[in-house]
Amino acid sequence: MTLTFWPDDGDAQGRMVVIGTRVNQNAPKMQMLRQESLQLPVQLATLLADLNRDFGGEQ
Amino acid sequence: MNYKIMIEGQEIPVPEEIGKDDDSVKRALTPFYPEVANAMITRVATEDTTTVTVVKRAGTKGARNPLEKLAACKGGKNPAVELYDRLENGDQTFDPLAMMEIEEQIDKAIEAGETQAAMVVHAFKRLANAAPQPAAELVSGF
Repeated sequence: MTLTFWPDDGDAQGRMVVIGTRVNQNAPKMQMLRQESLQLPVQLATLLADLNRDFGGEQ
Repeated sequence: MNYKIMIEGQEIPVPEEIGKDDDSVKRALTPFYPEVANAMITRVATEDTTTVTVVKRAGTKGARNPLEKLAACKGGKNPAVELYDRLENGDQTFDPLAMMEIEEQIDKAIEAGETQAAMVVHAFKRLANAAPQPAAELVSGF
């Protein structure tokens, strides 16, 4: 499973985020949503916050 | 309008935000198919569905077309080697008087040859000691 955050397009709801899932080499499945709608488990949210700090708070 | 992507014989239904333009298609597929950065994309639209066909093409890694840049560089031998080849392999024979006449030419060729050899050694050292640098753009597939 991957989360891909697209570049900020200035939308008030945040970046577009692609959620993709794939099993081995089968065709992936993808959904899109805005970052504000993304509800991450606390572990992933913490990792994302750490990542933001590593990049100087860049969103 | 529905969108579906065809790649490697697989069909992937995608939302409009992904299927609407080629850049979005590549951006969405890259995590799963890193080679799509250089892919050729074609579209066929029917009444309610647009089929986006992605054909991967081999791409370069690292800097863009470094071999083309190198191939376009002016070539040539080291001037000292070039003069040596000319003197050694030419039909012309040189008596001592003729050798004295081309002495200045030989000195210049040696000087230019040494300068060029020093530049090559310097370039090798710079390459060997160069610090890694981040790429100017995302290199997909790694």
